[in-house]
Amino acid sequence: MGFKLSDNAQAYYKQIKKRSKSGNFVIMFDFYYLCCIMGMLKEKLPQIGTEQDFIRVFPSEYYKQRYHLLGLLIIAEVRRTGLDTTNRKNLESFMLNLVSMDNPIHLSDDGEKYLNRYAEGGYQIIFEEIGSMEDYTSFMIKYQNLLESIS
Amino acid sequence: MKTKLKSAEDILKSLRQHKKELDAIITENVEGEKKARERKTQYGQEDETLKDKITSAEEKIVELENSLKLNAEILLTESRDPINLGDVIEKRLKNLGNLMSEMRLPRTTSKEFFDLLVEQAECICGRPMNQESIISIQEKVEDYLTEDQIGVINALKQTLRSMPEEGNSIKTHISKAIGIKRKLQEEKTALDILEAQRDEYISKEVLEEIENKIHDCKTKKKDAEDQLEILILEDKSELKALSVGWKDNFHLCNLHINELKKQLEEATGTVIFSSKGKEFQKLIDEIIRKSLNGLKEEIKNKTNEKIDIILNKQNISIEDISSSLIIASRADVSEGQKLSIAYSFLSSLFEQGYHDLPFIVDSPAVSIDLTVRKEVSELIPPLFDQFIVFVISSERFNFGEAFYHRDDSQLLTIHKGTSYPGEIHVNSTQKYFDCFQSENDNGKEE
Repeated sequence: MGFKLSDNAQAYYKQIKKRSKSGNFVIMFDFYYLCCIMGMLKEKLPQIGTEQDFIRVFPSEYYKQRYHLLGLLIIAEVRRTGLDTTNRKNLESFMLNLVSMDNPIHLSDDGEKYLNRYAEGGYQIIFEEIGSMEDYTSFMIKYQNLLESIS
Repeated sequence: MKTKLKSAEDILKSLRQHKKELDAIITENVEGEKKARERKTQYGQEDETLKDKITSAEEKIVELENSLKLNAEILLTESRDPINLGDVIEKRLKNLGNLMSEMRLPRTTSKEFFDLLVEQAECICGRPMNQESIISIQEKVEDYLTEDQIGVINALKQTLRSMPEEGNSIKTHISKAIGIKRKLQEEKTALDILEAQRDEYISKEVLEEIENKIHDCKTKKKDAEDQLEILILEDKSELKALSVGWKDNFHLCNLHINELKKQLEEATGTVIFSSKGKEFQKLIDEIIRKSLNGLKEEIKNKTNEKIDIILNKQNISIEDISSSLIIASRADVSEGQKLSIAYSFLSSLFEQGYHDLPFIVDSPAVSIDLTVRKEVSELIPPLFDQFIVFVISSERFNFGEAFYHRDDSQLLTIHKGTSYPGEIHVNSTQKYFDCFQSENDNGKEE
């Protein structure tokens, strides 16, 4: 397992990648990561299909940020499930369920699955709220506006 | 299958041709637009101020576009740190860090530490390690034990603790991008106005003609480029998203052709394999037929040799062996003769076998005439290594008698007794054999 984006999300990314004249994404993970963040902040967790992963490890550009993503994942799941964070054992067990030392991403199967589902959720929000885009800067302006609407 | 493959290959050829046509259309319309624009710029050349203003506007637009691209690069780099994306993320991550500290998560100490600690004379706090302390430590150690994943949680905690007070928010770069885009739009509008002023030097009809030509070239070029894009697209997700079929795309067409070729090879391979199988089966059938015929011929010849001896050249022979023995040219063969033929055949047949088995016959001489009986009785022993024959009393004469004086034969008289049910008597003397007569003897074996 690794990082997955649905075909539609990949097509959205590629449209910008191809047509943008004002700067651009460099790697697909740039877009995946923005989708994840949006999905986790808005707690949108749709089911996903059986897409193949587009990458299995954190790209070097994101290696330093891997724990931030993990932190946001934990926060999103705690909020979504309504976990009682005053219970130490439960909280620790909850966090441990999302991580693993068995792979370079340090996420368990559940952790990877939820992250990919949040990515799809984030893409769906982007598509609904921002719509189809052909320019990177215009996309980022609208993305930023959408983030600022979240408290 | 071949027809489908040929059809697909024809479609691939037509796609190649189509691509050439599209390339030609694009080139033609790029040239056409360029010429139309050049034609337009020829007008108003005498107005130097206007010309300079247009050049200056064009240069500013290029500069702003470059500036926008540069800003976008910085925007991308900064946005890769989630803290820079917005306050809400920074706030939530910091809250998580605080929560983990409050809850003393994760547990950070390994079991080894406690195992060593209880062995020491003193605790790490300096107090003596007495029995009470040891028991207390051992009871509470589970609260402090680590698991492997704890390392990841620990690293998370360290990361959250070391987050800077403030990130490099991308808001600055977003604002800058908005500013540049606005200026860009203003400059483009200004350029449009200047170009419109220049266009006043051109007659309305000529201007309209040039504008139409430029528009026409742009539209045709865009259409051709869009078609070409579909034609040469290889990305799986985009092809799926655009619902492109194999008849409209090189990559999919080639995949389709390869699939058909593979299917054809499989089908052809199967056909060849199947026909080879049939040929092989024919060969095997032929081998079996010839082997059987050869065996039949051999057995027939050997049988006829024996018949000749037994029946003393009575001109009887086997013509063929099929489901029965076919006797040559004789309408009428006696029972005795038939029996002689049968014995001869059986002995010839058993000669071919791998196993030596005794030849067992029940009442062999019943239907043979007396003369022939004697000859058969003399002929049978050399035919078989072990011959077991059950005879009735009438067969003793001229058949059974032939075995009386042979060293290699044994005469056994076996009959039931009368003392108790199942009683059997066995006598091996010739005298008994010669005289024995069953009470129920009327030609049936007891």
